[in-house]
Amino acid sequence: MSNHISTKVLWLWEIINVLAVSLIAAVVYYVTPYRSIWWYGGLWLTGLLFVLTAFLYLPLLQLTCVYQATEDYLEYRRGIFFMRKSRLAHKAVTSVSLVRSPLSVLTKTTDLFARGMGANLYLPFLEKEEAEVLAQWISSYGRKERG
Amino acid sequence: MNPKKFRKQHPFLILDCMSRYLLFLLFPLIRSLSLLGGDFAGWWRGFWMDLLAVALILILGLIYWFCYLYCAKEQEILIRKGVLLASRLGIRYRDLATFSLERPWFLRPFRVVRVKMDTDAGSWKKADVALLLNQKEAQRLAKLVGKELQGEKKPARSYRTKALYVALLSFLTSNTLSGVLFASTLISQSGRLFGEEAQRLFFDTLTNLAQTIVFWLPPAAAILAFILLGGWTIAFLLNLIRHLRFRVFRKGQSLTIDAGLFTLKETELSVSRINYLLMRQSFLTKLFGFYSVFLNCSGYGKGSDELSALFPALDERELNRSLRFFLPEYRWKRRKIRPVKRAFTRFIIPPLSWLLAVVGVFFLFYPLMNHFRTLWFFLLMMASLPLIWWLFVKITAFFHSGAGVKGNLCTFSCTFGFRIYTLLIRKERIAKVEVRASFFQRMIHCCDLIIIPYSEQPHRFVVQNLSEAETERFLAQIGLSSGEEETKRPRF
Repeated sequence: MSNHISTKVLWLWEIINVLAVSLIAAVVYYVTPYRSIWWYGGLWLTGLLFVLTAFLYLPLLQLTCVYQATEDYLEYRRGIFFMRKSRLAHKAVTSVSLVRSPLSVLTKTTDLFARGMGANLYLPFLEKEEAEVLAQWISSYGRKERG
Repeated sequence: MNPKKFRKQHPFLILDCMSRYLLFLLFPLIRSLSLLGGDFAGWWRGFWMDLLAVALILILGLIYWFCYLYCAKEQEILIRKGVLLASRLGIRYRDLATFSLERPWFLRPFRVVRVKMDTDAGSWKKADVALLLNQKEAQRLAKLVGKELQGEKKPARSYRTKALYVALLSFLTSNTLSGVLFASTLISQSGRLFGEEAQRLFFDTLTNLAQTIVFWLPPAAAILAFILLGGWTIAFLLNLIRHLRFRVFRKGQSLTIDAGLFTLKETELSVSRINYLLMRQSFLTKLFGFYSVFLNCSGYGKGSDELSALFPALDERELNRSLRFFLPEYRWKRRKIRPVKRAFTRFIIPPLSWLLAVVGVFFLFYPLMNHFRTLWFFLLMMASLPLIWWLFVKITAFFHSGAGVKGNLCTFSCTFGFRIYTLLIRKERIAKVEVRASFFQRMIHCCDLIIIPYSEQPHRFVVQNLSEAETERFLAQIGLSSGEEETKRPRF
């Protein structure tokens, strides 16, 4: 079983990006001397930052966030400049919980939290049905192991 | 003695648990402080309230002792405790990871023993079960637990550490902060007891001593050096006292570890519940070929003043022999995968960068330090020496880091700060692995491998700058990779 995190989260990230960039632009606009080189430079850089994050960084980030469940482990991969792969062995999993945060309600997704002894794995923004299937699969794997 | 009957612990528990209710002493303390102006008659009139607070603490201790019962059966122990929130706990002996008997010096004349039992579950801060029993009852319990932990009868083997090696372990693991905290508490409390005059005399003597002995240093720097050295010496002595007479004893499937000079501690643990062994070295001990071996098992080394040592200090030949003798399940393999050669600069860049930054700051502010030239130069030296030491450690790390697997056992070699580690862990005790690669690491096809083993507290071991392809093959060998990762990675 392998999939990306929900694409709906990209909309959420883009909205947060727009708000953050607007705030930075407002600060630059009011703090720097009007029509000075700092004013123009600041606004141009803010615009560039917005274009790079909205059209390049965030979509790529969403594409790199991949989870995978195999016979032996549960994996979560993410990152563009700092790639990170986390694998939690099934036999180390002691409990699985599905978490719905306020952000998850907006995006209609669910977060999966697998706890083990000394290690945890957090899979954010999964589609609701997928999260439930994955949680059941991990739990049934645990039951099969115990016999 | 009816094994099914619930019994109370030793009455000493009433005094032992008084520390839980010390909050009630706050009222008499505030009352005494408010009457510190010298109104003795007023304080005496209200003395009955202080007595009431002490009596309340004693009564609560008595209730706690009365309601905390245990029943040691043939194969399990049952605990019943609580008044308002009554709870009942049952633990099978075969589920125990560690069982320890502690004989503090102040309880030994009364033949009272502290018994602690721990499983892999429960709190990581304290033992699952802690009882205060008389010696006979503690020995009976130890025999019952020992039968389950030891398993089939095999000849017993024992190993006693020389005091010199215990001193070496204390030397490696002593922490200046703990020593300084201990000393500051001691000085401030004794000042309160013996008066401010005695405290002032102590500090004046210390200052004069520092100035006399280290005359070539600025006084402030000499005092700082003394504090650090003094703190470290105290921590060293405390560690030494706790771990003198260290002995390891293997019987069947259990390992017993005895240690201590004033507080005797005997811990029995199940070999199958050992999470991992950790061999620790400093740069100096690495040069001389000495290792200190620690083990991680639920309940062992849990106290804030305890070390989870297995073999305090031995050379490589003795280490291999001791492991073969006491823990044949742990036969280590030299590293199979090593850091990428091109990643050598990644090891030495951090200490070199910091060194350059320190030297840069020194020269930047040097013209402003007209009256503090000597101190400024001293600070440069103090800042540079650890960084130069760190550089040597990082160069060693390049030749030391790696991973290997032999049968069921994995070996990971890594460093953290100034310490050099070798981790021996069974495959099934690896809870999680992480593979991490920055943008620059991906350019040279290398990554960091992070191992998170089974443990009550999360621990991470980072093996840096390994080859990406070799890491995936290694993970496939230990069952944590399907080997198809390269094809499945999204390409963009």
